[in-house]
Amino acid sequence: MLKRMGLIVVLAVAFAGLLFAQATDPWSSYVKSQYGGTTITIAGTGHTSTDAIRAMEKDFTNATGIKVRWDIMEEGLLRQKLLMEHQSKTGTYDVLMIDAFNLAEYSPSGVAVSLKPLLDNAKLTPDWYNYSDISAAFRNGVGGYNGTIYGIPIDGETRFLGYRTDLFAKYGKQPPKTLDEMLQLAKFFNGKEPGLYGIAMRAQRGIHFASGWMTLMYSLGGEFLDQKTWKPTCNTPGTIYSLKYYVDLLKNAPPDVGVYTHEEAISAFMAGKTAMWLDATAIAPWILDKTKSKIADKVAFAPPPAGPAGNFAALAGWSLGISSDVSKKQQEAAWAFIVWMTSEKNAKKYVLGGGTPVRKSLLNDPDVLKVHPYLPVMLETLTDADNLVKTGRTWIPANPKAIKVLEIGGDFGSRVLAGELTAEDAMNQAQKQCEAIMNE
Amino acid sequence: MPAALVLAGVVIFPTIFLYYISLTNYDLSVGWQAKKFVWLNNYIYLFTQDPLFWKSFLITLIFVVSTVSFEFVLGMLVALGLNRIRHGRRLLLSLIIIPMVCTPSIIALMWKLMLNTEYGVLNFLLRLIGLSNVNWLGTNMALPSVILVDIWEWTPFMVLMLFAALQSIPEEPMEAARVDGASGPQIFFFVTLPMMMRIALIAIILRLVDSFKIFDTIYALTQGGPGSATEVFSMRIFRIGFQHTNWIGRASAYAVMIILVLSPLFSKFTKLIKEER
Repeated sequence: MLKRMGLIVVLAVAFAGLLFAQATDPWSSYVKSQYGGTTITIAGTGHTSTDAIRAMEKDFTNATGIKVRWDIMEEGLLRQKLLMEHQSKTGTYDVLMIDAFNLAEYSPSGVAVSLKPLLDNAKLTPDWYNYSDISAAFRNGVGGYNGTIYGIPIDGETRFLGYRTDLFAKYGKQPPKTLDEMLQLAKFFNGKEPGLYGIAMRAQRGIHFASGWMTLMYSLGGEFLDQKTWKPTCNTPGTIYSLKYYVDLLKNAPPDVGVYTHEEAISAFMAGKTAMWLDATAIAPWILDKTKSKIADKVAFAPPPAGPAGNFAALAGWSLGISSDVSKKQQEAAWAFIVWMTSEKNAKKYVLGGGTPVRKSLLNDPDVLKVHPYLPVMLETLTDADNLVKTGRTWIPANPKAIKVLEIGGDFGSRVLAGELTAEDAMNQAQKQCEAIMNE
Repeated sequence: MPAALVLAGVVIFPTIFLYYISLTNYDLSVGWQAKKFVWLNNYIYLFTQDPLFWKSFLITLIFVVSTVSFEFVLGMLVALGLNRIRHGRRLLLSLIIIPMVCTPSIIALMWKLMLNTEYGVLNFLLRLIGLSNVNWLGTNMALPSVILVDIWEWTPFMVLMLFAALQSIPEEPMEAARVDGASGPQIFFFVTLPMMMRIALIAIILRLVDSFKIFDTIYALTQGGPGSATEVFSMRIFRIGFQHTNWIGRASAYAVMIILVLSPLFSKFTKLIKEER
């Protein structure tokens, strides 16, 4: 009895100590005294990271007194809204969820502020934050542009291959090491069983097509822009070859692949309709979720296969930035929110809640590996993403006009898939339009 | 005076602003301050350099003509049927208007699932009767599928308008025609149809204008693809102005073209309303 009483007392003291420690954390006290009662508004999109952040919101408000309001919208709409709100200087949003694809585009008109002064401010950025623990690939490739930090990564992703272990075992196949092998496998599995197709990828007209194509483009010797001279390279033999390859590959996908975004692609794979899937690591947890996926226990992952030009994997993701159109006080309150959600202290909670790991300290954590068992393959793939950086290029070309070039490329690429144009004609037309864009 | 102010605020100013923007190179990602006056360059671009300008115009025309004519014929048939029913008409009408009152984007998402080649209910039904899968949202079928969705959604509007027109026709002329020995089709074409023509025309013009502006359903269903198979005019404006290219100036020039096409229709509509009074 005495022992039990003792244990209760010890636990109570420890709990009180924890509460006291939290209450007396200098950062929390300072933020509460300065910004307590403030409301910040976040512009975001539906994402696994958004869900994980929202689950931590109550703790943040309790610790800082800052209230949070969300405006969650579709990705494309979010992008337009951020640009238009900035043009009108409405200051509606304090925290901005930024897609790495749009970072360069937001830069010239200054949609988001540089976060360096806030990171350097010891009062606003506590010791337990540890910015350098975030993987450099994500810090620079997802949250940074031209050496300026515009966002703190909340989702760092690359693209890898998911394949059906049961089908590969049944037909004695191995995961592909080269893009040639992948095409052969896609052809092999396409129609091999009733209702089965070779592969699922994204191919909806515009940026989705461009993004799916770019997953393989660099390894096949293509690129939209020469990243040294910023001249369009849509009609070089390498780019045309990569488009032909992608269109050939998509002929082994479900027939309506031309309207697939990442969501339809992963749905087809999870429904057991395709033998392979090549897309974002961030949504891989859906495949392993037995409530969503028919193939949760029949799947394995592999890095994207190498092409004739090398092995260059994708690097993309989302970050949290701060609007340039709100007052300094709102910006600092917004920064407090970002600090809380992306700090080393809260990182494990964030990841176990479904967020994507971006911190080095968590990538080998056993608890995290239980939730994200594909992480070792993702790490391996990130090495391939680094291959591209070594050649002086980034997966998403770091130029404010790049997104327009990608959109045009994706438009014309989709028309090749639809059979409206040949790859050569499409890329010659795309080249002209992209040259006009880059010369504007 | 207040009405004039409201009109100036919500119609006249935005329209003049649209014309003005269409003469500049305003780009959302670069900003308002950086825009330049480019005279008619945007119009020259869309007529001479945009390969999809005329194609999107043609697709819009096919879409508008097919949807409005099918909706009119189907609407008329259903309205005539309803006019004959004596019991349960109110319940039937309430059921018929359900598609019309739903949000178009939700309808599009619902149809996107139903039209899915692999797990869509339409192909499931086709397989049940021994037919093979149809690639509803593939290059060849995407436009007919989009037309089908629009017909499903907007035929109820025609039904409502035409049914109201039928209800307002007095019985006497039809009885007189019957006494004179006119057949059913003769009564319909020479008595009923001319008497309901004005309301029918208003319904057709309203649908023409609406159909010409179609955006939400196509945006959610195909985004104008595959390729450019369903890229109607409004989708083209959206793609150029807001979807990554950010060319608001050029998109405004497209929008001005839509105004030029729709204006005669609006004038006709206003004239009809005036005549009705």
